[in-house]
Amino acid sequence: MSPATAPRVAVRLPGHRQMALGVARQRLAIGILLFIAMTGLLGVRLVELSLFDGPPRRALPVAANPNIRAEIVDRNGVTLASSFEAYALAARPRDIMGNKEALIAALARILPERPEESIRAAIHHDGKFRYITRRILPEQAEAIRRLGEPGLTLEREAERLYPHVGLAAHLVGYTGIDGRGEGGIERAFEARLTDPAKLDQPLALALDVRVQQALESELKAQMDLQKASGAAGVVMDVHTGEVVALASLPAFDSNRPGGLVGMPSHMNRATLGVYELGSTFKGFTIAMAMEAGVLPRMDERFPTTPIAVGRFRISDSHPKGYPLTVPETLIYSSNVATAKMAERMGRQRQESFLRQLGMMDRAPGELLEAGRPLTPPANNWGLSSVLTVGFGHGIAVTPLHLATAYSTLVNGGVYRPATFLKVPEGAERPGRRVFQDRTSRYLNGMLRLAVLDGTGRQADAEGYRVGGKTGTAEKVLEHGRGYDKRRNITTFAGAFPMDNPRYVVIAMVDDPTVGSRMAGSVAGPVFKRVVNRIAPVLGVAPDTSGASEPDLSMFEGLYKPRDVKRDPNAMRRAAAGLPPLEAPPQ
Amino acid sequence: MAVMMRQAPDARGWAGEAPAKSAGRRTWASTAWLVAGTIAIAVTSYSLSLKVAAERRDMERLARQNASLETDLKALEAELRVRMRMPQLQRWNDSVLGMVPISATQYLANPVQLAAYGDPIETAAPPATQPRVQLAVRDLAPAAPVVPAAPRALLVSAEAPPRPAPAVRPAPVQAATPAERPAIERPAEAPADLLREVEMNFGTSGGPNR
Repeated sequence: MSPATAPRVAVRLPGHRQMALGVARQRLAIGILLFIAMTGLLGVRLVELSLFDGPPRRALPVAANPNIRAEIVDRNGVTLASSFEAYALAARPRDIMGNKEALIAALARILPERPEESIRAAIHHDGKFRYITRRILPEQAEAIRRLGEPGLTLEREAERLYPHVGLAAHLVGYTGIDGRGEGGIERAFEARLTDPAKLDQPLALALDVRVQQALESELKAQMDLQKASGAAGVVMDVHTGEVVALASLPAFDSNRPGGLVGMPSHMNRATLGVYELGSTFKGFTIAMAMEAGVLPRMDERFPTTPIAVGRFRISDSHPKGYPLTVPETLIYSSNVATAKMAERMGRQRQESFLRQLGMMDRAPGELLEAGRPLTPPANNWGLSSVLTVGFGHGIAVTPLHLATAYSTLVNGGVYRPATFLKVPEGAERPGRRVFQDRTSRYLNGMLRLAVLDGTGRQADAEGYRVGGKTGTAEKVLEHGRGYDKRRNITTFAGAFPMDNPRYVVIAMVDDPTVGSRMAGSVAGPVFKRVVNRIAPVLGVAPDTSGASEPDLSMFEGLYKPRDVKRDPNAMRRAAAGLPPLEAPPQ
Repeated sequence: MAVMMRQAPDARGWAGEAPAKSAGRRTWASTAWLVAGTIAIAVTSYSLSLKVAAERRDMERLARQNASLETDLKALEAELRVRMRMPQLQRWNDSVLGMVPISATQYLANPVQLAAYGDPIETAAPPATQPRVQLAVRDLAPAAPVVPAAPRALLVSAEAPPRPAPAVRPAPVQAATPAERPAIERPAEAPADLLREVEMNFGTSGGPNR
C-alpha cells in the first residue's frame, strides 16, 4: 500500500471497496459479453456469406448476351438471320456542356459517313432528344464515349443481319428500325425470338437454303426470260407438310427492306396472293369424283363437245375430237370432261372436299401473311360454279394451298397442314384422311402420264419419275368483270418420284409476256430444272432404267402413249425382262 | 471465455491482497500469445483473401476476354457467311465456274458399271470408244496452250527462293507474268461486289416497284 493511496482509503466507507470492485467486475463482464457478441455476429455473418449467399454477384454481366434476338437457321443449321450488338447515338441538346461547334467537329471526325449538317441539326435541335444516327460501330461508340460529353447518349440496340441477303426474304421476313419483326417468321415468331429463356436456341425452320436457292434462281431466270411480272414457288415434303422452300419474286433485301410494306416486292405471292390456278385443279376433281363413288370405272368415256352453262361456254383448249377416258381427261387436260365429273359430284360434296383440303380456309402454316381463298359465294354456288371450280376457275387460292392439297393427293390421301418449322426426325405429324390410298395411287399414275404424254412434257426431269399437271388461267381484268385473254397465270404443280412421292413442287409464273404463255412451256421447264437441281440435294436417286416407274397396269389400254418405248408400263416390262405387250386393239 | 476464466484468479489475488508477480507475468504472457495468434491468423487470412481476390480478378478478366472473343468470332463467322451466301455462289457459278447439276445418266447403279469405265487390263481399248468420266464443269476459259514457263509460274511454293528485284533481272519477270489467263478468274473484291450486286438485284430503294 503506497502512501498516496492512504488518504483515499481513509475516506472510503466500509463496504465501499467491495462495491467498487463489484461495479468494475460488472463493467468488465458487460464489455466482454459485448466483445463476444460482436465476434459471434461476425462469425455468423461469415458463415452465412460463405455457405448461403452463393457465388459473389456482380452488378452487371461481364458482357451483354450476343444473342439479343434468337437466330433463325434452316433445317441444316445454316444461319438465315442473326443479331449483333449495335449502338445508336442520340443528342440531348439541352444537356450539352461544352462548345457545340467543337463537339460537332469532333463527331464529324468520328462519324465520317454522316454529313456534318445532319449532326449539326441534331446538336442544335430545339428539343429534349434527337437521334444523330441509329447505327454506329463499337469503335465509334468507344471514341464517342471518350469525348465525355454528358449531352450525348449511346443506346445499345440489336442489329439484325441476314447473311443470304434476299434469299427467302418473304419467308424469313425482316425487322424494323426498333428491332421488332415486321414480316414473315420474324413477325410470326416475335415472342419466341425475343423470349429471354430461348435466346441461345436458334429457331430451326423446315427450309433448306440449297433448295430455296435452286427454286428462286430458276424462277428468276424464267421470269427475266419471259419478262413476267412475278413468280412464286413452293417445295414441300409430302409426308410431313414441311415447307422446304418458298419463293416469291420479285424479292427485296431483308437487310434493307426499305419502302412501304404495300409494295409489290413485299407481297408474299406464295402465301398471301391468291390466284386462279386453273387446270392444276383437275386432279382434285377426278380424285373427288372417284372418292364420291361417281367414277366407278376408269374406261368410261366422256364426250368433249363444248357445253354451255349459264353465260359460260366450256370448251377444251387442247381438243381431241373423241370421247376421253378418265386418265385421258387428265393427260389432255379436258375442261369439258372434268366439268362433267364435277356435275355428277354436285355442290355439297365438292364444297366438303375443298374444305377438307383446306381450300376454304386461310393459307396453312405459321406465317401471318396468310391469304384467304376466293371461293364462289355460298348463295351463288350454282351449277356453273360447280363446273368451273371443277377445272380450277372461279376459285382463287394461294400456291401454298395448292402445294398442301397436292401433298394430300399424292402422299396416300392424308391432309397435313403446311408448317414452316422443322419437324424432328421420325416425328409423326397428325393428319386427316381425305382420299383413300387407292385413289391417291391412281392419281399418281395419271399425273405421271400427264407429264409423259400430256401437257406437262417439258417438265419431265429424266430419271426422277416426275408427275404433275399444268395450269394456265387467264388473269382477271383489274377493273371490272371478266378475264384478260392476253395475260396468263401459268402454274405447274407436280411431285416426284411418282413411284413413292416425297416432294411436291409448285412453280408459278405470273403474266409472262415474251414467248409462249402456256404453262407447259413457262412453268414446266422451271419445274424440270428445279427438280434436276434439288433431287440430288434431297437424296432422291434417279433411275433411267424404267424399273422404278409407277405401276400403271390399271390404265393399260386406256390411253395412247406418245412414245411406246417411254411408256411406264412398257419400261417396267422391259426392265423386268418381259416381252412388250401386243398393241391394244383400237 | 478464456479471458474471463483467466481473470478469475487475478481477481482473487486482488481480493486476497497478494498480487503475485508470477500471476501478472502469466497474464501478460497469455495476452501476448493471444495478440500474436490473432496477428498471425489475420495476416494469413488477409493474404489468403488477397490471393482469392486476385484469382477472381483474373477469372473476370478471362470471362471478359472470352466474351469479346465470342463477339469477334460471331462477327467473323457472319462475314464468312455473307461472303459465301447462296445468291453470290450462284452468281460465281453462272459467270465463272459453270457447274451444272449431275444428270440422271451420270449415276452408276453398281461398282461393275464404274469398273467398266476403266481401261481393260489386257486389251487397252482406244479411249475414244469409252465414255469419259468427267466432272460436271463447263469449260468456260479454254485451256491455254501449254508453255513451259506457265506451270512454274502457277506452282510457286512457299519454299521457292526469294525472287531478285525486277530491276536487276528483267528477264524472269517477263517469264513470270505469262500472257495466259488463269483458268479461273478471281472475282472482284467482295465488299464492293456485294454492294453492287445488292443494288443490281434489289435496287437502292429496296425492290423493283413496277
